Amino acid sequence: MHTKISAQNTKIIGYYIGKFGELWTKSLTDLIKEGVAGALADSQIDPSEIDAIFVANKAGGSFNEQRHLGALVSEQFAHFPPAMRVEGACASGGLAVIAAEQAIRSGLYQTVLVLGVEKMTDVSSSETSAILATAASRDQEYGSTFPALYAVLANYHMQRYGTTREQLSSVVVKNHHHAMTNPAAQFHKEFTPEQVSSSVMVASPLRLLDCSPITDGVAAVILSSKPSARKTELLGFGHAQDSLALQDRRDLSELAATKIAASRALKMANLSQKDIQAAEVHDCFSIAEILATEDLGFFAKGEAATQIAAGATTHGGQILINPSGGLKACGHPVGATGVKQVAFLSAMIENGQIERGLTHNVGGSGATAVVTILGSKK
Amino acid sequence: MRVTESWRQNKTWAKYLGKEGVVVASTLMEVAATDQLAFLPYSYLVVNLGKEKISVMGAAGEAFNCGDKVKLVLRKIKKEAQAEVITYGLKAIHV
Repeated sequence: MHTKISAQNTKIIGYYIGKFGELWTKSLTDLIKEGVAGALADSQIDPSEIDAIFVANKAGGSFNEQRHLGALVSEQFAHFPPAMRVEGACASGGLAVIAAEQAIRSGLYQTVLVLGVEKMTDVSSSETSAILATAASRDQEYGSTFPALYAVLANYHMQRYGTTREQLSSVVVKNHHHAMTNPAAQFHKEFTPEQVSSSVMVASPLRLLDCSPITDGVAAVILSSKPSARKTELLGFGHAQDSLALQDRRDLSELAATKIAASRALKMANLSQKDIQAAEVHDCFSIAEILATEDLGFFAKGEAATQIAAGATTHGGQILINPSGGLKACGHPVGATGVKQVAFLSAMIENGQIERGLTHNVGGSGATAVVTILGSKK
Repeated sequence: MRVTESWRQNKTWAKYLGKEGVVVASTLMEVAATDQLAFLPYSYLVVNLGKEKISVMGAAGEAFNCGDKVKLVLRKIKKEAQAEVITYGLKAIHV
């Protein structure tokens, strides 16, 4: 599995992250146009060099009554490059990136645009909950929502490892602090642990401020196997699946797909967790970052919450987790999130802030996981 | 739940109705999707039935804890748009 065909790694030769938020004045098409223009401008390549397009989007058909997004993105180009939509719930972005990478490694294409987009705020919050819940098992998880599924995981983790309400809040406080320096973030607002712990209950123990927001946004990256002066290379990737429904999981204290995807990605990159300086992980809820940092192997099982609360995952700590603010504070425009993670860490590498980073993108309550390793060769 | 889904699922009711199990993990929901707004607050549970686990809503207004013993019973699922056809599904109640 994951046999490397090409002699050199694919490079990220362009990236763009639009402002995330409730973008009342922008339509789905407006966001697509913005993402295409932004990534092309950053890459400084001629648009005709784009050989193909992978579009990450979870639910344009439901949120915006717009499907056929491949064609919608392709028509932004005079030469109409072949384009397809990739959907894997909240992991759509990560899946689109590795689909593009596989197409390049196969030798089919040299330069590929990956664009993630979601326009979520045109429907009511209860409609949004219903649309997002379609990523759970329709047959086996009737009545659930994603906050409820992650609340079940949180309660299990708390019972098994003694994870506390205060530790959940520390994840939120840290990520909102990180977002203060990210101009694209949806929120530039810091919270105290007490504010998080007393916010409105959604599904016990998860409160409103434990949950990532509803967000409009676009992010795009351009991958290429052509020689480039850009530093960021895609050193490895891993993709794994688990059962759609929580009830069929072997162990509710972990997301097994994350563990497998991370192992595959690190093996391909010939690196270990100790080589990673920063990671953008899938913190759709506060408990999700705790699970992720354990399952990715940065902390032993049951220890991440204590480490996060002690400052091990912020600037100057053991590893920098979610420097963008994560899904929690940067925002979570579902299809764009995995692409944003790659774009954000690429920018950090290009700017010399880190040499190696890891992205972690999860679909549903953990049924899909995608991990990528980015870095520059020394 | 669509009427057609309810009809398909009722073929499994005999397998689960009256079964008793133990709550593995749970949450008490105070926000729900459109179809379940009328039930709020309600619990969502993973229940170990011995040979398999099942995910179900709990009886409306009841909180459940890990280790609680529960029984699966039938519940009415009303959807405004389907006022003429009342659908049913499973729920858990305390034993």
